[in-house]
Amino acid sequence: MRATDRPTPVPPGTEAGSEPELRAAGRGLDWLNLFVANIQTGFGPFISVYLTTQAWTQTEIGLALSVGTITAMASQLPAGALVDAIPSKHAVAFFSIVAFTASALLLGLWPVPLGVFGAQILHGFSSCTLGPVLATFSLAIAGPAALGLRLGRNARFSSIGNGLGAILMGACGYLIGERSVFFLTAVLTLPALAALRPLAAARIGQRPPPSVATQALPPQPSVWRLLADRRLIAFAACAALFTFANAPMLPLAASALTKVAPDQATILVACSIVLPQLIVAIFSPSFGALAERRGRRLVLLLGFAVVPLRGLLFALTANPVAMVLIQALDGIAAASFGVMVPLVVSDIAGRSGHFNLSLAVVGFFIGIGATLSTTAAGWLSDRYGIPAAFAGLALTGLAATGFVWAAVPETRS
Amino acid sequence: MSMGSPGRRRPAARLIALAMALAACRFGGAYADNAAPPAPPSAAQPPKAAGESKPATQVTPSQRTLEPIAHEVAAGILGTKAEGPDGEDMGLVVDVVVDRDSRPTAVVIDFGGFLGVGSRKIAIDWRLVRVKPGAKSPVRVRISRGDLEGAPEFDATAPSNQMVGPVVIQRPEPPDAGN
Repeated sequence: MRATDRPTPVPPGTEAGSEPELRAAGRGLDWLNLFVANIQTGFGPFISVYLTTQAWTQTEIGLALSVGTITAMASQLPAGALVDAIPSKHAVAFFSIVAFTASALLLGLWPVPLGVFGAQILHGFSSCTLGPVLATFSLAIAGPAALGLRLGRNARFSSIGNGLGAILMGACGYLIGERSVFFLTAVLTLPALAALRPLAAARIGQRPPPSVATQALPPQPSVWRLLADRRLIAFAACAALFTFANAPMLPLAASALTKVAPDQATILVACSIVLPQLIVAIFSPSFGALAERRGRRLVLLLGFAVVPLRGLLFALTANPVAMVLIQALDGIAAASFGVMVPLVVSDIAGRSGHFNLSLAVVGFFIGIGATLSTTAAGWLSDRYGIPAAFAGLALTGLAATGFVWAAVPETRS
Repeated sequence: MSMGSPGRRRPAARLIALAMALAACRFGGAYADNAAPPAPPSAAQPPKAAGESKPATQVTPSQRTLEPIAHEVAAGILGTKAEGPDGEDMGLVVDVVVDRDSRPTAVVIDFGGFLGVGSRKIAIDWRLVRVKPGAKSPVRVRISRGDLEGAPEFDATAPSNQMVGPVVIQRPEPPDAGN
């Protein structure tokens, strides 16, 4: 690891924790990112495979997945506001992870509608509280000046966790059985809880954010004024467009791979899930550093521009190996997006006392983009074929990039 | 299931034959249990035969019969793993398409992908399906993964769909294919 990855001490008096404590907390946050990403893999599309093996009909499975989506959408803003209001972020993280444990166990032990719906609701809500808390930890450990570097490091560990999770859970499902994946997920919440300990020891996130603690009275903008901030709204809209164009590409490409190369589909799809994570792990720290040196807009535009490029390339080829390589480009977009969302929101609202709520606003827009795009891409590919669907997504991605260029100002101070 | 011993059936049992046929149709095999005499098992009688043999008196619930379904004789297949000729993984059984004579037309499998990403629902002609009730993977299809190349996605809500049929062995040079 490079020297820049070290947590930078925050201005004196703003945060608790000595230098070694902060360093330990930084390492704790690394592991926390890794294990949380690991756990989230278990709650992904795999749930539908598992419920199928439990003799659920496709309609019931669709309903169960909708319960999860609706919960996540409905709880974004309340969860963000709640996290802002609770002084101990450490406690929020702890209970969110415990909720993941409960959710995974419910799915594994009690795959009946009541159990599965309960698990989906628990998971949907606690995802909405845990995401912002991780960003708050990062801000508390790194301070606003070095947040980009810290977020790059977060993204690196998350993608390692995602990739390892996919490999581990794929192997587990294949070798032992679908149900075992959820017990593995539940077990993986334990190291995540352990990773919280150094954060607690350094008293990270157990007191108000730096600004509130120190600066005598930077008049706190009212929540409404903040939410009406043109930069926040423009960025959230761009994030929604980005997700709309980007999210359906993996499932669409994977489905196309299964169609053109059914013999090697499993390994090809596994590669197109894991390879981008590898790219994120490699590039995201550099993106964080680049954002600190050259500004947010450059990194944003770089990441956004990859989406129309991928859409175009996907539309032009049906070669399985080429498709896996094109999908690997997603790592560039994901590295940029993963670092930029918390960074730009922190630039806008990090010191306002409404950081989590502002993150939730962007998360809500992203959720809208993801929900609408699955339907739209499915409709396009059913009606006009897979290349047309990719072309449509490429156009949306192009619009998103143009919108960033035109409407999202540089937020680096 | 009753199809194995049609001669033992009591008359009252015929009344639920339609219901039983509904269950039986999921497993293929004969549909002989609707006919009044123990007909040859292969001669599948239309289900309306059950209606014709209805007695004049109304049936009360106390007249129902309960028949055993041994797991090795007939079993549910929803959510089980389908296997190819060499035991390869052909995905999970998610549906059975049934025609107006209550006979299965196709099995729908959720095929391919990884961790639920990229799988496709594909209908496979029921004539390619063999069911071994009670086995861990009761459904075996006589088609391999490679044969599913380019297979269209099955959409239960679409007005029509296509299924993967038997593999046709192409003759090298059909006699009148020259023009």
